[in-house]
Amino acid sequence: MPEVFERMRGLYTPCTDIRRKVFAGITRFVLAGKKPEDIDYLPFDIIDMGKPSYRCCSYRELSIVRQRIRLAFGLPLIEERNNMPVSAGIGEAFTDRKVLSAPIVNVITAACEKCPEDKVIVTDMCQSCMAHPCSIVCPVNAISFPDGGQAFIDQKKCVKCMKCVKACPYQSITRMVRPCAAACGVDAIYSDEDGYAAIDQAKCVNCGLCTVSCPFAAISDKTELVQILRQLMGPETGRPYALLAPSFVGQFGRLASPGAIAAGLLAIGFRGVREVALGADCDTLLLARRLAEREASSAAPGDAPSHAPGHAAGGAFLGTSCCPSWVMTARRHFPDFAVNIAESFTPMVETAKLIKEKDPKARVVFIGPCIAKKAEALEAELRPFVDHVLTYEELAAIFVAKDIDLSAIDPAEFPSDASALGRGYAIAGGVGGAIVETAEKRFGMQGISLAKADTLRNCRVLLADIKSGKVQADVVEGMACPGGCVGGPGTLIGLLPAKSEVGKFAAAALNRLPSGCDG
Amino acid sequence: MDRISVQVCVGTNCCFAGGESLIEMLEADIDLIDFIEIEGVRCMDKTCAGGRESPVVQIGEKRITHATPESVIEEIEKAVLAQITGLPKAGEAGDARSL
Repeated sequence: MPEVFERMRGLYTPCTDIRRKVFAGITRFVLAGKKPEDIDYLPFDIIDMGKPSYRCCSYRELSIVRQRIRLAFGLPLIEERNNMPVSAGIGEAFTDRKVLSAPIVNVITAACEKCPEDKVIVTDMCQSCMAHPCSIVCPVNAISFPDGGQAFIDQKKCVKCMKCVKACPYQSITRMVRPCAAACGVDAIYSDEDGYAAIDQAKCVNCGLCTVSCPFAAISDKTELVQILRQLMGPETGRPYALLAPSFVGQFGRLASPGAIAAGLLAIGFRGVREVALGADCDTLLLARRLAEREASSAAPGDAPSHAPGHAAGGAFLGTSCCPSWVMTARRHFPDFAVNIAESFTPMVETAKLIKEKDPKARVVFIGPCIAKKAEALEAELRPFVDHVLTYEELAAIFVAKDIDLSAIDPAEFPSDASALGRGYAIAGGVGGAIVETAEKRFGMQGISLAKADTLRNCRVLLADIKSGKVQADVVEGMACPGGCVGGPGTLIGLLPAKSEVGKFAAAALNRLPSGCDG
Repeated sequence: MDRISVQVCVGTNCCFAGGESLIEMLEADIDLIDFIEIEGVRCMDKTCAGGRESPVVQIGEKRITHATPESVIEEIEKAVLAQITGLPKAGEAGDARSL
């Protein structure tokens, strides 16, 4: 059974629809130069009062859309019970400065359907059969057959061992888990006292997979759309540079080449475009060099040549650092391994540095599939480098609102300085693979072992296996999203086409190995 | 039998409204895939402008606006049936000889 977030991936559902309508509506609103107080009328452009299309009634749709607008402005949700207008404090978000603040990922209570938390239930497929293996295998005697009819599970007794689920010849017993909680690899989702989903922000690592897994679109992240739009509309000197994450290829449709995407970015007002794969090259070189140095320092004269730079004590592995959700998860759940995660800056920051070195006042917007980057860019030590974060989906809303068709635009020249390995960072296995290949081909190392995991649940299993000694590796790659960044919540296309497009673009790079990162 | 041409607009507006997902859905439809020729095309005309009628799909002579997998598949099935039975396609004048 695929993970919950993979079941709806690549589908255009009404959840996708409402999210994008809000983004496009807000973008048109800002571009039209409307006043902040007019925002109270915006929901009526997005939904059709009297004709509910998603929910039981338009009034519920209205209150949900209001909350989505708040989040898209980067503002906190409004307290439902206080009857605040959506415009409360909206003036302060009408700026070209940063207004985003934690928490990034929020539950819109008005949209939450209070799904049962985690329950093993008997469905109507139950034939109340003669064999009734369900009650026979149940270790806690939770199953009975009231009035000789269908099986009934006493929820107070059930320990969710799944034995009855596996034993039923009719597959009539199933486990129902909240999709949001099932998608969360760090168990950050709980129920509040009224049964609504809530996020424990102390546990949340902002991967954002719950936002695309909730079938009622009840969880959403804040955006910096408005502030970035204000910069793009403002004077030339204040306009930002665009950094395109390695997973950008193909995201805007099969006819939107990288050059067309770059042309589109310039057309909406960005001053320049760089690919983050270049910063990935910096990271690859840094980590490969670190592996080589460790080997050199551990191989004392006279010793047998040790090509494994340290397997001792649970593993002196080198962990990748480009996925912020993986880094946070590893550090929180396995504090012993904190030192193993490279303290290098991420490709995003390395690329931003290349721009800021030349023009310290330049503004930099990272454009990617990632919600965690929004939180990463809030960290004090990163603030000087990365000003804002935008997802592909949010960027597409700007293209649409500005009527820019990337399938018809004259392509701009795309800077072709990143390596194939750097461009491959977007796909699970690509980061670790790049480090290993560079260490072997550039630094002459041999037999470096790589362990990797995608999705945070799998990452935690991998780290536990390393801790117990079951797995040993020199390099450990962790990715929060299924399939890597190409499976991120801010993507526009499915996983398979995204992988194939990234692969083609990597193959077209001038060099396979990173040559440097001087930009 | 000629394959039925299914042109899905993958202009930016239509992609934002699910154009690429439509292609993915159609390519995964093993019952239909042998009968159709799927193509991602540029905006065919102003139908997709402003995204108000996106996504747009052209099946033979028939233009579908606000296309969904359900509406597109229904139309393809009609077109396939018309070809098999020789009945006139939607929007075409009937031809008595082919009946």
